[in-house]
Amino acid sequence: MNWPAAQKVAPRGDPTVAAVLTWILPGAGHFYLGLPVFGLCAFALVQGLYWLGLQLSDGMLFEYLEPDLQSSFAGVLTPEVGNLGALVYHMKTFGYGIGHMRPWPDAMWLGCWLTACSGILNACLMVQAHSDARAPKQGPDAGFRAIARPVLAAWAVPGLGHWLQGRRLRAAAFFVLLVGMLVLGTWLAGGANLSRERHFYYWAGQFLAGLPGLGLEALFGRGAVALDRPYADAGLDLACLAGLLNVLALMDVYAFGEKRALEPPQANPAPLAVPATSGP
Amino acid sequence: MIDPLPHLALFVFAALAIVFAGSTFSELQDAALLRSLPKKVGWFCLWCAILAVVILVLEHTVASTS
Repeated sequence: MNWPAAQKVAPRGDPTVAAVLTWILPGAGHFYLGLPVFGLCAFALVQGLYWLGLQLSDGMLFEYLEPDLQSSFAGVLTPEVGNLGALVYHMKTFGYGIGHMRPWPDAMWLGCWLTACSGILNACLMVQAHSDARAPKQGPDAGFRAIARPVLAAWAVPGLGHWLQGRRLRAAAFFVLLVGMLVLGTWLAGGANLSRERHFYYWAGQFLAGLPGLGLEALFGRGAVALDRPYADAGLDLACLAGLLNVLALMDVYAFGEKRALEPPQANPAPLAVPATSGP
Repeated sequence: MIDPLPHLALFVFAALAIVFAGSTFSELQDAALLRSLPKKVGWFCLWCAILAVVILVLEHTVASTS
């Protein structure tokens, strides 16, 4: 890849190292890049969310899984994997519970939301660390530090990241298609798709569509399944597909932000005002 | 017997979303992206149909036990 804007000045650090450090321990990548205050705030926020989630769910998240799915790598396909250090701690400390069924805590659903949000937030922090590492050590950041914000927005609401980048038509199309799929899937499945307990891994896919999915879960996700739904499986697939396709939207937002940051600055910017000419 | 119309409608909707999301990398201009979408969805559906026919043929030949 050509790096016309970034090659002229020394970057803050190695982007891969910064991203991997952040994955293992939130904020560590920014400490490595010489941004300790940001790193400390990020650590407190991301790990605080996970800790609160563990408290509310009593660490019982993986007890949702059927015994035949309780493997060493069961956490790899969950949003929590974005915060690897916390996920490993979670698995080591709480694992799959005490070997028999027990009642879920009252705020189990909220605890699961928080641990999942912590994973997604840390994934966005990895994007931030990766782009921060390429920003010049001194002087203007050439747009690198602004890459991660639209990515987080694009997760929160499909299309919002594109909207913030000024790509309104694409934003509207993403929103209509992905939120439409989520709503249609929920309607077809009668809300059964919204339960992490019933559909652990489908829920993980659906969670990638962000807040609309969580909003639907808050409204319709905890009811009993009373009717036979002939298209319940199709609904489950559609809702999960909406989340997975939003990953493509996130990548598009990231690629566009990166491209904009890498564009060379204009050599001769247009003058702001035409100088007044004196009359004859 | 399945009801083909809802299945077809759901498939076309999913195909539209898949092709749109997958095309965002190849078309940087929004207008060009939307303009090329019907043709791409058509090709996607055609190849899915061909794949379905291949699977059906294999199912009734290689995988058939009767």
